[in-house]
Amino acid sequence: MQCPHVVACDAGSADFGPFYLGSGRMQKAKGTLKRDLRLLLSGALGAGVPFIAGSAGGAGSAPHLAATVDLVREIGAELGQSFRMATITADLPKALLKSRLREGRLRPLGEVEPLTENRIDNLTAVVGMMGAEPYIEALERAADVIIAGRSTDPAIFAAVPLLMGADPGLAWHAAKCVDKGSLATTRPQEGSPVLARIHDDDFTVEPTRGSSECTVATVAGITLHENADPFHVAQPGGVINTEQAVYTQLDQRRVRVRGSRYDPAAPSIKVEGAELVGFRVILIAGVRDPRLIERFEEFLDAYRGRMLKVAQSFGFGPDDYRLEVRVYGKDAVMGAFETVQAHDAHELGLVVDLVGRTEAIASTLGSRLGPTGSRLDITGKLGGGGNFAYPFSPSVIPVGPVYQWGAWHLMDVEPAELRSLFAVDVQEIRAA
Amino acid sequence: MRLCDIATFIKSANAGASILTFDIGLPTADAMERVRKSEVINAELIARLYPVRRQDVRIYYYLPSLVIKISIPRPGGNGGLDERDFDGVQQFAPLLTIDVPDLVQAS
Repeated sequence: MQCPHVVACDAGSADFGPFYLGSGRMQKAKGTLKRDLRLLLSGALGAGVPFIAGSAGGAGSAPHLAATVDLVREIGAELGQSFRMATITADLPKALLKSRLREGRLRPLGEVEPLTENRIDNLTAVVGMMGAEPYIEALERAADVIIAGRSTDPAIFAAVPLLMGADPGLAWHAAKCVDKGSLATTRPQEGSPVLARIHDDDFTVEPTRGSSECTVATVAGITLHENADPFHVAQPGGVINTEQAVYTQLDQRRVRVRGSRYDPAAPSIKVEGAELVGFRVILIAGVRDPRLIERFEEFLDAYRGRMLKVAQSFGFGPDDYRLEVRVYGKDAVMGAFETVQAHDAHELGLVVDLVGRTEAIASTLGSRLGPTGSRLDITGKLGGGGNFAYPFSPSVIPVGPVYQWGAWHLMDVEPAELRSLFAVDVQEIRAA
Repeated sequence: MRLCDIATFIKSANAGASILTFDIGLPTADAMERVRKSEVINAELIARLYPVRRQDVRIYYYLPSLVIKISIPRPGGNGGLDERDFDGVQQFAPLLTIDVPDLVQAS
C-alpha cells in the first residue's frame, strides 16, 4: 500500500465528561496509551510521515499534554529516534474569557447554566477546541510529530490535506470520515484504521485491514454519530456541509464521496471548562420489603428529612451537601424522562449518592447514610431490623471529586486568533 | 405495529453535553419514505414522549444510512451531579412503542 501523507489520531473527547479536564488525570492508563503511541510513532517515523495526535490525554489541557509528551520522549528514546516535535496548547486564559463574556461574545451552547466572571475564576481548567490553523503552523515549521491539546476531531486530520491544497469541502469531510477510525467500518470491533484518499473532485474511504469493510451506510453514518444534525458539522472557521454529498460503493470495502462542502463562517471557538462541585460517596443497598417499596416516596421524604437533621447536628447546612437517592427499579436511568408510572418491582436497588462540599463533609455525612436510612421505621413493623441490604462492607464507598461542565460555550474570535490562541512550541528530540 | 418491530435498530446517545440524539434505522429506502410520508414521527409526538418543547425538537431523514435522527435538548448537561446515563445510551425506551400505522409496514 502506498504511504499516506499523515498518520493521525484523535486522542480525546468531551464525551468522557468533565472529570478528566477538571482533575487533570489522563483518560487512558499509561500502559495502553504507551503501547498505542509506540505503534503509531514507530510506524509513522519509520515511513517518514508526520504523526499527529490531538485532544491529548482525553481532555487536551496542559497536564494531559505534558503527560503525553513525556510518553513520546520515553518512546523516542526506546526507539532510538530523533525527530522534531511540536506541542500545541489549548488552555485559554481566564482574563480573555471574562472580557469576551462582558462583551457578550461568549454564548452558551444549548441549555447550560449561565456563566459569570466568578464561575470563570472557579474553573479548574478551561480549553478551547482548536481547528486546523495551529496544526498547519506546526507543519509549516517542519514538525515530524505534533502532540496537541483539545481540538475539533476532524481538524487533526484535515490539516495536512488543506496544506497540500486539497479542496476544503473534500478535505474536511474526508477528515470527518476517518476521525473515528473503525467506526466507519461494518465491524468496528475489528479495530481497523481507516484511510482516506483525496482527489480533485472526490475522496475515497477504505479500511486498512484487509478483512474490514467500509460501506455507504457506515461512511455516511459517521455524521450521525453523536451529532445533532447529520448534514452539518461546525468547525472554528466554518461548517462541514454534507447536504449534497453523494456516496458510492466502489467495491466490497471502499466508498467514494463527492459533493461535500465547507462553508466559511464567522470564526468561533468552542470552550470547555470544568468546575469542582464537591466530593462524592455512595452507599449501595437493596430493598426487598414490599410494604416499604409500596410507600417508597414517603420513605425517601422521611430519609432526606432525617439526614438534614443529622447534618445540622454536625453544624452543616443544606448548602454543604447534596443527597440524591437513585432508585433502580423505578426511575434511576431516565429520571425526569421516565414515563412508566406503574411500579411493581419486588426489589429496588438504591445508590444513595451524597456529594459534600468538602471531602470531610462527604465522609462525615456518608458514615451516617446507612444507619439513618436502615433504621427508619415507616411501616411500624421494622421491629429493630433494617431496611437496607448491603452487599459490601464497608458499605459507604468514596467515589472522589465530582466535576461538572462550568463552561460549555461558543466564543467569538478574530480570524487571527484561530492561530494565535493556540501556542505552538517546537523542539528537537534527539536520540541518545 | 410498533416502531421497534419495523426498525432495524433504535439507539440514543449524547451529541455533546447539551443535546440528546436518537437514531432509528429502517430496513429499506421504501420503508423510510413511507414513515416520512405518514408524518408519524413529528415534533408534537416527541414533545409528548419527552419533557421538551415542540420547537426544540429536530428531526432529520438521513437517506444515505436509512436513519431517522431526532435531536432534543439534554437538561443539565452531561456528567454533572444529576447524571443518570453518562453516554445517554439508555434513553430511547419511549420510542420503541410508537404506533406505526399499517400503511408503513415494509412489504
